[in-house]
Amino acid sequence: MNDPETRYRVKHVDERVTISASVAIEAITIAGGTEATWRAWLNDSPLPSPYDSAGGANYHHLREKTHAAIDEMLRNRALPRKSTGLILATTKGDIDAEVQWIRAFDQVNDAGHSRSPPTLGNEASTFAQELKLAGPVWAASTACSSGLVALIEAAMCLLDGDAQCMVAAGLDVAGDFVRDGFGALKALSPTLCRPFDRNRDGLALGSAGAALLLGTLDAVQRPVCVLSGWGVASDAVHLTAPDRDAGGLIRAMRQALTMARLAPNDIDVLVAHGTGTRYNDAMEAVAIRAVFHGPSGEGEQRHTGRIGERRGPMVTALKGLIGHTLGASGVIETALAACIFAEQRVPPITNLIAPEWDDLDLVTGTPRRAARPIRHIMKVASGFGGLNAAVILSAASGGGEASP
Amino acid sequence: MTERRDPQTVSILRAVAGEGDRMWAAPSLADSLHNQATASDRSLPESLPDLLATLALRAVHHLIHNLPQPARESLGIIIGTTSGSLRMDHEFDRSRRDAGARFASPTAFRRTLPSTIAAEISVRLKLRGPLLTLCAGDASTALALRRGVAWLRHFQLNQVIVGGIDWPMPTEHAPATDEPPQVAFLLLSQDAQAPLGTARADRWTPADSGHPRDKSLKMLAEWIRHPASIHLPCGVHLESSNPPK
Repeated sequence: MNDPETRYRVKHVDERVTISASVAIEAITIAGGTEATWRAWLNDSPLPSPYDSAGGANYHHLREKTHAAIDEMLRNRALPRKSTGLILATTKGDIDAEVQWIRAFDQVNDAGHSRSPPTLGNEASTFAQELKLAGPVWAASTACSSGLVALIEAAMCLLDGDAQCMVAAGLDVAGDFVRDGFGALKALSPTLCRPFDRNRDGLALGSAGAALLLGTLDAVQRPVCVLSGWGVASDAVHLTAPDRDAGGLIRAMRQALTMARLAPNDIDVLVAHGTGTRYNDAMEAVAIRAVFHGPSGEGEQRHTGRIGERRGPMVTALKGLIGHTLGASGVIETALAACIFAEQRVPPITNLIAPEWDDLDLVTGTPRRAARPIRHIMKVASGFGGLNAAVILSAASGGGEASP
Repeated sequence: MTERRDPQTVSILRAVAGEGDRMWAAPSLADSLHNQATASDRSLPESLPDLLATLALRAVHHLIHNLPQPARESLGIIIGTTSGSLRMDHEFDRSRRDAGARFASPTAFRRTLPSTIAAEISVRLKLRGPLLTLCAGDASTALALRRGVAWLRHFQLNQVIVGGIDWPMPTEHAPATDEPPQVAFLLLSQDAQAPLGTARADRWTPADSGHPRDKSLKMLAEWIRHPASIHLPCGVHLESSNPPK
């Protein structure tokens, strides 16, 4: 019943199914190297730098690398660039350039300052022009859920026929402005980012550029995987703190399941937001329990074989490895989640030593091989302002690109 | 290429625009602003730290003034902007310079995201549907409208708030920066009962996503003052139920 091929065939009959099941992720790319980044997560090996060696945390270096990675991804496919669009997920774009503009503005005062400031829309537009993409182009900014929201928006554009292909790109740099801000909020770990660890003490910032290429399922020959469901919902609780009841995240996860026509126990792996802050991880634990430890108790026996434990899907997270890459996190983490299908192994939560919650199936230590084939992966993200998103990736029947 | 469905048309139930300290709306403000305030409405602050946020909050407050809480539970918001959080970035950067990085203002920093104003509206008015802030240059507001039409269908929402906010920035051709903040919002619905007009998403048309000013925001504000039939960027078409004679 949950075979993706079966669901695709009914797409012209049931509008809901069309919405949920006919977008393919055709390709993925990560600045610094997709394969190398995946291997770093899987094998706990050194992470490739997304920058040129001399670049440091420099927006322009990362932007160049991201541009090159996307261009190569597109060149490897005969795509109609004129009908390909791009949605750029970012929180601050080229904030260093904006700060320069602000300081120059202060010096010369209003009347003498005629140059326009950099904007996120301009960044997306320039990116698309350089790539010769002439489809719909804009920047999506929903704090740290921007990446997943860009992916969802790109999928909806495809389904509406606004473009033949869509690129969902994420790009954010942890420069001084951002570091000072998170420092002021006292959210940064003085040690390591340790998601879901009882000794976790904050997040680590990271920088990333990554992209996903989306096409309609009938047009993509060998999809990496299928985007089979999604959900977006707000907490409406606080401007920075998450809802301790996880109201928005729970609704987003359930929406995604409904759209994908999946039951909670169909989800094999959950790639958590996992920032390593006290409140975010606790909130996610509440959401995982609410969604996967329901009255039916469906999730617990599949992986452990032990009755009475409520464990749900295997839970892993990336921010201990790559840091919190803000607006880009949803894109790069979805790209790496998609790699799990080919490998059929789930990398551990980097830096997790002492799990805080025993009733969650947190993957620790070494990569885990599931008892049954991994067919459905949920990726979630939450951001400032209580903006939550969830997507479900499903294995593409008949194979697809075997390597990331 | 995927064949496009028929153009999507939805109803415009309410509309509001504001500039500086002035607002105008349809139905008129006098008919609605002080009626049937909910508990969350009564706690609405007189002002937020950011004038643009204050104006946007008041405008959205008007749009939903008598919507019951259950209807707000799934209400979505899409806001287009070009300037984003530029002024709050300025304030936070000033705190970094004045007090040093270690003592920069956390209050200012948490407002430096372009999505802060949409989030603030969600928190203050208890709107729990999906939120999106998008930046698409001179078509930011029009794109928000287009995405709203799509959201009603894709997210199966009953209603969605769409519009634009901006505090005009200096450009090469318009260096003055004393223009007031501007907002314009519509309440869209699939409900065809007594609409002010309709919004339709036709075939996608390219826009200048890099432009520093959102001309479609001014176009929408003008439509709210003087409803007629207009074409906005991104293939968005607005019709009035009561066009001027």
